[in-house]
Amino acid sequence: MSAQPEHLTEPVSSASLKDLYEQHSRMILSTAWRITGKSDDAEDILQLIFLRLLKSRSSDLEAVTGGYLRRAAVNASLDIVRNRGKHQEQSSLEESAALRDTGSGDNPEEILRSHDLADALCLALSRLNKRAAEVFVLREIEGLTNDKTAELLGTTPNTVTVTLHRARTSLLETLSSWEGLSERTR
Amino acid sequence: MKKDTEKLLEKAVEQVKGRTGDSEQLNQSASRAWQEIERHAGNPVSQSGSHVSETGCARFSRLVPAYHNGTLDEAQSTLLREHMRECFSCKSKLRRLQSAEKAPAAAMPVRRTPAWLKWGSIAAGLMLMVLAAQFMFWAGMLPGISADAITVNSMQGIFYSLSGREIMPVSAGDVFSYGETLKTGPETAAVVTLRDGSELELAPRTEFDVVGGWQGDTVRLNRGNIIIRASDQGSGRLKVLTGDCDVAVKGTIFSVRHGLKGSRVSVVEGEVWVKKNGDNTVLNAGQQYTSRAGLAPRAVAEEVAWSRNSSEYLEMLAAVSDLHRAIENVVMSEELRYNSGLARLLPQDTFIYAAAPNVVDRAESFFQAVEDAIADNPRLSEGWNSEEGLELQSHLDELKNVVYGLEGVFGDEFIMAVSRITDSDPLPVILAESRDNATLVAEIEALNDRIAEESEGIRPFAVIDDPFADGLPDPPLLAWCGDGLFAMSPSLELLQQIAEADGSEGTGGFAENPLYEVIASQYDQGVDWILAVDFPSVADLADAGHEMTSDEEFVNPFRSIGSMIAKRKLVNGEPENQIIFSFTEEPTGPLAWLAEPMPMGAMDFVSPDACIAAGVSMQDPVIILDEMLEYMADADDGSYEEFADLQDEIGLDIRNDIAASMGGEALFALDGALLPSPAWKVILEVYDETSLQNSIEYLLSMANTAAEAGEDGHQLVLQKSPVGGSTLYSLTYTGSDITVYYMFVRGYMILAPEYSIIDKAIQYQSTGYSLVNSPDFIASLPSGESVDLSAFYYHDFRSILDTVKEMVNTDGVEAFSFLADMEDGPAQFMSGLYRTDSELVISSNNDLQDCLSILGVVGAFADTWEEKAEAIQP
Repeated sequence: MSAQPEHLTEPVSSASLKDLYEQHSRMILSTAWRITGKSDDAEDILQLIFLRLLKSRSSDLEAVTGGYLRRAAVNASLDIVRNRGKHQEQSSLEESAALRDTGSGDNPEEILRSHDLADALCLALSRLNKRAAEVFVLREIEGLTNDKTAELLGTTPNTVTVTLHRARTSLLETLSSWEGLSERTR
Repeated sequence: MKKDTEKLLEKAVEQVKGRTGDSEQLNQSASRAWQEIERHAGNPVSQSGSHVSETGCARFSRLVPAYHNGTLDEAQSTLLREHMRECFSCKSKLRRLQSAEKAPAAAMPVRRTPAWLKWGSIAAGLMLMVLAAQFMFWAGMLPGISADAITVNSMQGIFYSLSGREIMPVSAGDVFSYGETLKTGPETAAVVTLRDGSELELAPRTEFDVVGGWQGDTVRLNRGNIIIRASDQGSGRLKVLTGDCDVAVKGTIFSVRHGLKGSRVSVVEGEVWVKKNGDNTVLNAGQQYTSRAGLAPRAVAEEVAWSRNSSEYLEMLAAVSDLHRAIENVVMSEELRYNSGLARLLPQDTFIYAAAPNVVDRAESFFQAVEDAIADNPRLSEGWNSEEGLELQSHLDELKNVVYGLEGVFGDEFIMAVSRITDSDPLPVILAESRDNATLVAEIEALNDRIAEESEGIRPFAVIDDPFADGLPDPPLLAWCGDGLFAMSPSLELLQQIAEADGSEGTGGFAENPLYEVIASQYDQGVDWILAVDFPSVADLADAGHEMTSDEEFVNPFRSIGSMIAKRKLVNGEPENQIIFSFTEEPTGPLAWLAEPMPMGAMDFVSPDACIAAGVSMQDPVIILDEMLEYMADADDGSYEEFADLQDEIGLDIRNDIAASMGGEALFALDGALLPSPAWKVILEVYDETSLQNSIEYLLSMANTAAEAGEDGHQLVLQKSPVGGSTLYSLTYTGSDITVYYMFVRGYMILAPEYSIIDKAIQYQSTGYSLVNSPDFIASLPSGESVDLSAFYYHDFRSILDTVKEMVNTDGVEAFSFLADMEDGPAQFMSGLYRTDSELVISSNNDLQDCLSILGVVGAFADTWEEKAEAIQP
């Protein structure tokens, strides 16, 4: 037979996948649980990540590290929070519009009052630039060092520092505005 | 304030960091998740050849309504979206739900808005629109952008959109943007509307898209047939591009059919402009344009007969039928014969009829051409002048003497027929017009004398001038030279019947035979060489005394054939060979499974350099299977029950899991290097690749389970690998080193022995560098009225010859040097087959020997091929 595509190698074996799972599933669950705040969501994210790995090549699997899986967990979790936020905002806006139409009030951020602080932070994170959110979670929540975060993201520690600063500033502004809104609507 | 917020952030971070489960909870979650992963992927994960879990897809399928309603939680939604990226079935389900929602959406309540705001907004909006439109006009941005360029009005059957390599089902009410490709399946009828209100009626297997422009929309017809009822275009024009001609209209009704052999534009009403290579043609109602000379015109009424509005169109066309007939007459060649005064003399029960031009009068030029060809070829000359060759020449000279003596004696045509009279055995007869009876009689007697000299006095011909005379001799053949008529037959009774018909200027009854009608219709089109056979009569002769079983009747392809016509003539200087089988009833069995001529998209995956390609377009596999099952049930021989048991045993619904996933097209090609192993590929049309792939994997798992129990234990191993957004599958039998690769691409499954062949096939399709666009291929397409084919066989003789020569030369076998001479022959051979409701036509523009020559060469070199392949094999 003539040359085959380089990536056509052995399929993912259960042994290698299971090994990865044994090593990193709890870390993924923890990370996802923290960001989404729900164990069910965390389980689904764990499934999602490993189902994707199942479809990948065995050579790719060998390159999978704990850091890669942590990033995958962070991004998948933020995606879920982001989508959840959109739906909640949409229903909130619809409710507010209905209230306006009936002259009952004007409070589009009403929904935020029902969140606890952790949820509010994660929601604010989901609205950040994806890279900034990722940096903030890896550094501040997952507790990785600047160097490790830079290595995972393929960038320099300086860039991580700057991105983290911007992320913090942005989060502070968001939380501040929400805090103000909450004060006014109390 | 800022410090407070910072504290708030720190507090929030701490809360986030703290919210996770304990070790036990995490272990339980991990365990549950792993079980789910195994369930989704099939258990165990490592067996990539195993069946992908039905339950996984079924579970996702159940989530689709909740996802559509927005009630599914985000994690599940993410998982479902991930699943739908590869699952056609779930994606279709979502699409259907979305489509169903579109109609009621218009009835949703509108929020109240203050009147001043409303009218102010409208005024401001209008101003903005005018300004924006003006800007976009000058910027040239406006016409190509529209989310509702095409609206699907109605559809029956399979209709889908092609996006990248994905196919998506289309439903009535769906809207599509400019540039989105739509395709109808077989047995599909659909009507779509363009933005300007123009209505497109789509025939089965039509593929097209629409692009916008300032002068109006342009329909790009990749293949198929559309009838367009163009709306009033104002100052613009609606255009149709087929690749080989451009059509432009204002407001009219017309049909455009585009296929392998070119395009045919037929006008029902109004005026249509057709442009090709800078030449403009204006067509009026009833007129037709074909983009290639080899594509015969067809009645406009027939072109639009498939339309749901056909009766309306036919009424329009009736008014211009005279013009239509005039167009048909244009294609008739002066050298052909358009009627036969002799055929009517034959008896009613004539079941074989053959007619040939007067070759006697052409004999001199024929013999001269043969001798010139021999003289020009040293190898042939050598044989011609050998001892055996000289003996052959002496016999040929005798023949020439006879034939040259008869020159100018006969009319334009010879007829050979086989008839029955009053339940007699079949009787042969030869008929021709006699223009010089005296010479004819003298030549026949001279021939008799020559034969008698060499065969102990036997005189085979008895020349008679009156079949009713008394005391006529009884030799093998009676040659009647009547008044302007020559007839020869062993049967005096038959000659008498012909003489009676000739004397009364009536007919021998053949005109009342349905076969005569078929023959007469061929004369209407002009004939040169023709053979007509009444199939049931010949079948009766062949099968006398044999009663067919129901099994034999079902698969007997000749059961529903009434007649066969084989003909050869020159059309526009090109040879046209056709065999036409006419049906007397709806065909059953394999004949019915062949689809009517339809565009064959699988050909797009074959390059112009292909050595051999053969394709077939079948009916929907579900219809074929249903017909077979119905027959099996009727046969009541237990076969239906066996089939049902087999399905139960393997746990697969063959109709819904496999047949419904498959389309009707199948194509085989040798496209690429022939050594060390031929670069073959098989292309199959597929409607639901997910379902088919699931079925394949399931069947593999069944086969492997059975193999495990067997002696050798060899397995079929399926591997998957992502390639350019698709999945490449490889199937290897562990008992050998044979691997077959396959991919699903734009509604087709491509199988090949190497991935590179599949990759190239995709490139051919995407770049348009394909066989269907090859000038050599197009030139070899058989002429005839059908734009497309139901099946075809094609080979490029030179490609194969090059390989053979390479082998021969490297082996130093000089004896095969005659191969070089074969290069002067026709390079491409093409034979096409198409079926309509009433007939099956096999057509070719080449001679049969062109086809046989390649088979001979391949056969002769089969052994050398094998040795060469082994030598090259690493």
